[in-house]
Amino acid sequence: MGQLYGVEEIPFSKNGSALTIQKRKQVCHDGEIDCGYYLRALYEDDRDRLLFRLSFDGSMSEIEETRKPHKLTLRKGTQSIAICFSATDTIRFSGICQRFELYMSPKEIIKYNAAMYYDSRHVGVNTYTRKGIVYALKGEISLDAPWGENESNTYIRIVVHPNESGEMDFVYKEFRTEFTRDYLTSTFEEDCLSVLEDYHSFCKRIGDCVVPELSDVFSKARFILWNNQQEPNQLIKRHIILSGKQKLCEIRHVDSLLIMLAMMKADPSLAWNQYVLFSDSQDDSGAMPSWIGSYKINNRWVNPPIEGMIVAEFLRQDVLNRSQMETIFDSLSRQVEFWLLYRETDGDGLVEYFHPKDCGLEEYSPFVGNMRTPSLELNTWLILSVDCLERISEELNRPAQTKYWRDKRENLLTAFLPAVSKVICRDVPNIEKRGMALPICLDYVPIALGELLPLEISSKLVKNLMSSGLQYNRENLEKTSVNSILCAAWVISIALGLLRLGKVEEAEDWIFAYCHLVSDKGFYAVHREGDWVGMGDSAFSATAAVVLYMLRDFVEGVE
Amino acid sequence: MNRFLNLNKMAFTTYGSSMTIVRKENATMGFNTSVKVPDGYYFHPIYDEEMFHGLLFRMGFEGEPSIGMEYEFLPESLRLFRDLNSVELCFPNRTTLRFSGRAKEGFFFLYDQTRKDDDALQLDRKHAELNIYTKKCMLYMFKGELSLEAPWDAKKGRCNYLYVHFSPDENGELDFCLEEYDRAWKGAWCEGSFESYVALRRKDFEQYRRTCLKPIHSRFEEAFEACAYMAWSSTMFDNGYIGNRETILISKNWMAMTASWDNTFNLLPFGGVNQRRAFDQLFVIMDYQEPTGAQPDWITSHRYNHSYVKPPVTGVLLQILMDDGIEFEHEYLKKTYHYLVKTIEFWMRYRDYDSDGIPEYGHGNDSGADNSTVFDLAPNVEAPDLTAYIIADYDFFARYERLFGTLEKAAEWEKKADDLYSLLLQHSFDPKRKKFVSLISGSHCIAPGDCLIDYIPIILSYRMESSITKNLVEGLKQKDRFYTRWGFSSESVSSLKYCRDSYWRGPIWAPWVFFIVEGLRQAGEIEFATEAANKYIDLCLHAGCFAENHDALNGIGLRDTSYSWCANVFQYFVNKYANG
Repeated sequence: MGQLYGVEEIPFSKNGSALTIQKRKQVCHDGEIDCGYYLRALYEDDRDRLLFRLSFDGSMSEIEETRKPHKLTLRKGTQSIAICFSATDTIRFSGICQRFELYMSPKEIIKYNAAMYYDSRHVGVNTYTRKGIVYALKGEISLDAPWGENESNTYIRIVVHPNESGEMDFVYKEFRTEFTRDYLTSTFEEDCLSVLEDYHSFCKRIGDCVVPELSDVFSKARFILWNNQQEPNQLIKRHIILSGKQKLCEIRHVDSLLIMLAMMKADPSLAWNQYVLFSDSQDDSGAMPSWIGSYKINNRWVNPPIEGMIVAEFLRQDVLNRSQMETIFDSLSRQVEFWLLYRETDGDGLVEYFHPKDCGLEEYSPFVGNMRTPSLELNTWLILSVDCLERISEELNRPAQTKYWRDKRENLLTAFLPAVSKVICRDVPNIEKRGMALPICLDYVPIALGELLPLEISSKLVKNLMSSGLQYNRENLEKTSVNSILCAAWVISIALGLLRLGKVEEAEDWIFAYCHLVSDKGFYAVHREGDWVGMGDSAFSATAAVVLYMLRDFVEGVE
Repeated sequence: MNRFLNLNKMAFTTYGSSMTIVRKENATMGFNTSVKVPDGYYFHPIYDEEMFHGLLFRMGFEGEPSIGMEYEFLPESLRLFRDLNSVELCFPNRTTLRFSGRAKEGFFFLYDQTRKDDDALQLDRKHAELNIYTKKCMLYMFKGELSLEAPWDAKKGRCNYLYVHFSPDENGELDFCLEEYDRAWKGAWCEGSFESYVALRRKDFEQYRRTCLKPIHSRFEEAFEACAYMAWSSTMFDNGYIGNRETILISKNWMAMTASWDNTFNLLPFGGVNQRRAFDQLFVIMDYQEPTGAQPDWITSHRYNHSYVKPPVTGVLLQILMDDGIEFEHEYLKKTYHYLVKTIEFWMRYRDYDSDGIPEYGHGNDSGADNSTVFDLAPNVEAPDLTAYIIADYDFFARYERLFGTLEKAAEWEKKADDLYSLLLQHSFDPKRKKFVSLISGSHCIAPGDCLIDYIPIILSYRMESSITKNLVEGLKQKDRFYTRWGFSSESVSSLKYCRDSYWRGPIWAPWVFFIVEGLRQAGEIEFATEAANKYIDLCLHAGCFAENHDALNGIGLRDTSYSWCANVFQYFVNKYANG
């Protein structure tokens, strides 16, 4: 297997680990940039820190990387060091070089950060949420870390020197309280093999791309999802896939559901964890947390209920058992009631976001001058959730519930359709309200309602969509003014809606355009319409999940 | 009004609540002494993210500066007034603050230091939702109306400021609530009269106070009432990592956490009067003991911290209290014993990197004396207090086994204590300096300075050779060194490193004073111990607060001025040593 993905784009990590190695640029307040390979930890307190910079001689120049799923190799001239994860809390370094260093600069040091020299084979560090030890299996370690005035070292430089054969083999291990002297006994190669087997096993479960020309982007999506797994850690009580391991170190509600969609067939247990992690944190009002991190559950915002759309796919695929349906029914009905009871304040029948972060994409949400926003996509997903509740209650043979939710859906649609009509009646939807020069993807999410929409509305929406310029076209990258974005949740919503409408060709065009976009520009959290630049986390799980789902289950389903 | 209920030094809050009201005048922001806070009365929630830097909105009468108000502070209510304007505050429950009174031109909340994502929205003339900290809040009016300004800045992703104006009704009256919640507000509930909730809180407090230590002399009534208020109002339960144990936080000023040696000092006032409460303070931390035996450094509503640990002082305090004649319930002692054995195993097994048999701190924070001068050269220091605490813990284990276990096991613990004590003398007592010394692990270098930590082994005076005790007592009594007008400074006042407001590099700290006084007493230095204890009592009365630490020269309270261990040691000393 050759070079897959650069460490700058996708952090080097391991299924389950909170440790990563990333190639990053550290931009300081004085404008100085320290580019390099950093050992980073993804705990919540450490998300904005780079921690230890890795190098042979303190200089970043001329370092080359070779990255495989299980191994990262850094080279400079004749020096070379290979890095792998021996365990989720353990990174191992093995190679032939004159020296190798882990350096925490004065810019990275914060109060209380400390390193301790124990002996020529052990150095302890206490610099982030977890503590760590660097110990040498081959070679020796020295520490240069003057103690400063701020109850911390002024900088920390841990240098590993080779043994008489020129080899070094050392370990960075993190722990919560203390190093328990559980030294590695395996060889470096054995550790690599173990990781590789885990990766292959994951790939096997996921399966292959059904669109050969897009198999590269599919492989990459699969790798990102494997890489972004996190083992249980405090409030993350289940083994799950995080939203990302580059900038985000938590799991967001909407992302979790999209990941669930992609994983349900391949790894039902992992997919179910993505769901239950949130439903276990649902409160008595029915609201879900916006996101869950290792030590914090965020209650300040509530993300839209895309469950209905996701679960409808599972019903179509017949992958849910009765117990799961009951769990989903209970949780989703309470969530829908939350929106209806607490988030419909003006009596117009449309539910509202209260804060840009409710929408999940705060910078691009339609919040202008009014924080209570009855956004179209929110109401679309709510109706789909109600529709889904009707279908689950039918499956569970609960006729009274079926009628209740059917009536509810009709009422919501009655209130919703005039709002959609207003938008599609304009040539350029919603410009005045949003101050945007281009149609934005968000306006087409109502397509997700499929046959629930009157034909004249759905036809107009699809027609507008196809001529909107929202589809990425490799052949025509002419820049236009940019005011909006594409994100995975909106893309999959529209794709599934097109399918419900029987617009198979349009659906395929739509998803292939998105997959080409991700293939060309990267797995970013969002892409800017117009110039298609990616923004946010560049190895974003929700983006990977949607690509993976589209290029496997979705296309298979169409066929 | 009780002079200790000083809103500049102690927050107005209630049992179980994370909502507080504080007054800031010429004040700085939490630990950050370089950040000046605008004067005024603030709403300050003390959740993990807000406790240090979360002074949110100021409040006051419209047209007047916030700081211009006067106040009357009672455990159950707070009255803010100026001229004919007067608004009273009370807690109908732990998540709701109610405001009631008269304000001719109205009342205001002003939040001008907004942070990312902060936002508010007005729902109608009677309701507005604030989304500016860990919890959301609903403002709702019983009398009067509100208007909100919170202009949203999309680029900054926050409202630029938040201003709420409360207009009185046609009778000039205001009555409204600030209620916090997580995701959905379920409607107004506290429609009983304002006075009825004040009466409820008074009753709660009086009930609690009846279960607190009572002063041996009536002249301490006022101070003891304040101590009871501190414990009552600092109690949290059903709150994230705090769990369901009724936990007395260190403070509700900004150290809104429980830490794994601060908590132990709650044994002093409550060990003899309310053992469940006393031991819950230990167990709330011990519940999070790791397989290695380490306990978290501290716990807040949202986090527990394992980056550091704290010194194992539990056995020391239990022994002293048992010597006082307190008979602890077996179940409590048993549970504590088992936890503590694992804790000591942690220190002895994992915290001796140079394998010399003497355990070491990995950082000043591990010792509790974060920045004391013995850590000036390196963080991994074999400070003698640590080994002394462990020896005292071994002695406690032996005592426990004699009481409830077997003599064989007791003998085993005694031998461990004897052996470690011998090693401590050999390793850490410097006959030339006539004191114990703090050595850097491995190199055994000593940092310059003259720190009180080297005298803490006096807690072992009950097993110490008289010559060594004599050396220590002489050191403690030495003129112009530690023993000032107000007690024992943490760094010798003659040391070049001494500094008045410098955390552990000069000020007087309750735990060290406690250990030294008790060590002196056990050494037979009754007069010296009594004098030192009374100095500490006088220090608290003089400062008018129970502070985290005090200036060793002028006695004023420093840093967090409403701090549990100070109140705990004060109460204990009053009933054991107070003159007259």
